[in-house]
Amino acid sequence: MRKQPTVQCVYPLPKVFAEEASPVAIRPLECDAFAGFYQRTAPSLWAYLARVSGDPALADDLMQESFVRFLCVNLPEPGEVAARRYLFRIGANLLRDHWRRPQPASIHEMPEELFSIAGSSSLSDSQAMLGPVLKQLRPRDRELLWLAHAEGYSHREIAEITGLASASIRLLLFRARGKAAGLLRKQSKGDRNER
Amino acid sequence: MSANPCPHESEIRQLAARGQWPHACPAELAAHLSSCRSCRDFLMLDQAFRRDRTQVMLQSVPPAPGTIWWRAQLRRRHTALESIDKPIARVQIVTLCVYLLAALSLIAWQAVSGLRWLDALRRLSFDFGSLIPSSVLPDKMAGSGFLLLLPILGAVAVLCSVLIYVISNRVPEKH
Repeated sequence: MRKQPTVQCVYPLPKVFAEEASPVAIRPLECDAFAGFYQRTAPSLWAYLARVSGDPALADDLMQESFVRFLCVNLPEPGEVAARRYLFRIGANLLRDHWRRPQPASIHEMPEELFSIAGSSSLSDSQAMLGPVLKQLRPRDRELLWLAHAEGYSHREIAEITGLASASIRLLLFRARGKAAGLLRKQSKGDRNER
Repeated sequence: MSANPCPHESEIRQLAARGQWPHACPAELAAHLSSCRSCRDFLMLDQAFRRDRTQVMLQSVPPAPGTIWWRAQLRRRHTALESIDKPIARVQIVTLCVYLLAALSLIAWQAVSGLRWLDALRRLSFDFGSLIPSSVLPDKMAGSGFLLLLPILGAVAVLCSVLIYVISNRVPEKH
């Protein structure tokens, strides 16, 4: 009987999804394992990048770059949860690098509405409500709120992803939450008055 | 105003994360929510962000995982090549510098004896200049130190061209 051809990776890629904690015993991430991980993680990473940056095209680029970088490093911890957290960390760093870089003049001149995730007609209720609120928040507040509420990360995990001190997360999140809640209340009050 | 969270916050968070809100909410927690503004805000934001995440995730169109895998392979291969190429280029430059230094010091060391050797040759009535066609070398230069300068200049030219070749062949570091 002929043997089924197997996909062989020339260069071993990051080692995740291992049962044992010892780095020696960690199995290398194979193409199929990566495909599964990618399909489970890519939409949420894209959502995070798109919502924090407010630019879906940028989120596309950064998401791809995050995965490429993720595949090129050896992870400090085994397991899918740690891998996911590490991926978000790469994404957050790329986003920060993007903000630090000087922006091209042509992009600056474009109205921000062009970067909205979808046309106003196709906006869902939640997006129509949260979109304007997120726009009024600072990028760091958006990042913290998204990681805490949308992704459900703990303060320690947020600190790991964002590179901020764990002790300051509580206070920063408290302030961001207060600001966002106020804006959200105002927004829903305005919507009710319009109706 | 205190940044300390309400003790019920984690309970509310767990209920919302499991999708059990509001159906599986205990009566005491519901009563607490009506009186605690912090928890109400927390729940409002939590639900808004979770709904938004679900909606935004539906709009994502990630490329095929194979494309990402292939790009990562290419990058790893390039990084591997670069890591090999860098020390080789460094060694080449150092070797070239050592050779240049050795050549220069040898020339400086042998310059006096070399001139003496030429004098000795001249005394043996051997005209070194006669090796070069007269059309190439003017009469004034024949028999002067210029003859010694020619091979030196040639060696420097060869070494310089090798150096330029090595530098131009170096892989660019950033892509």
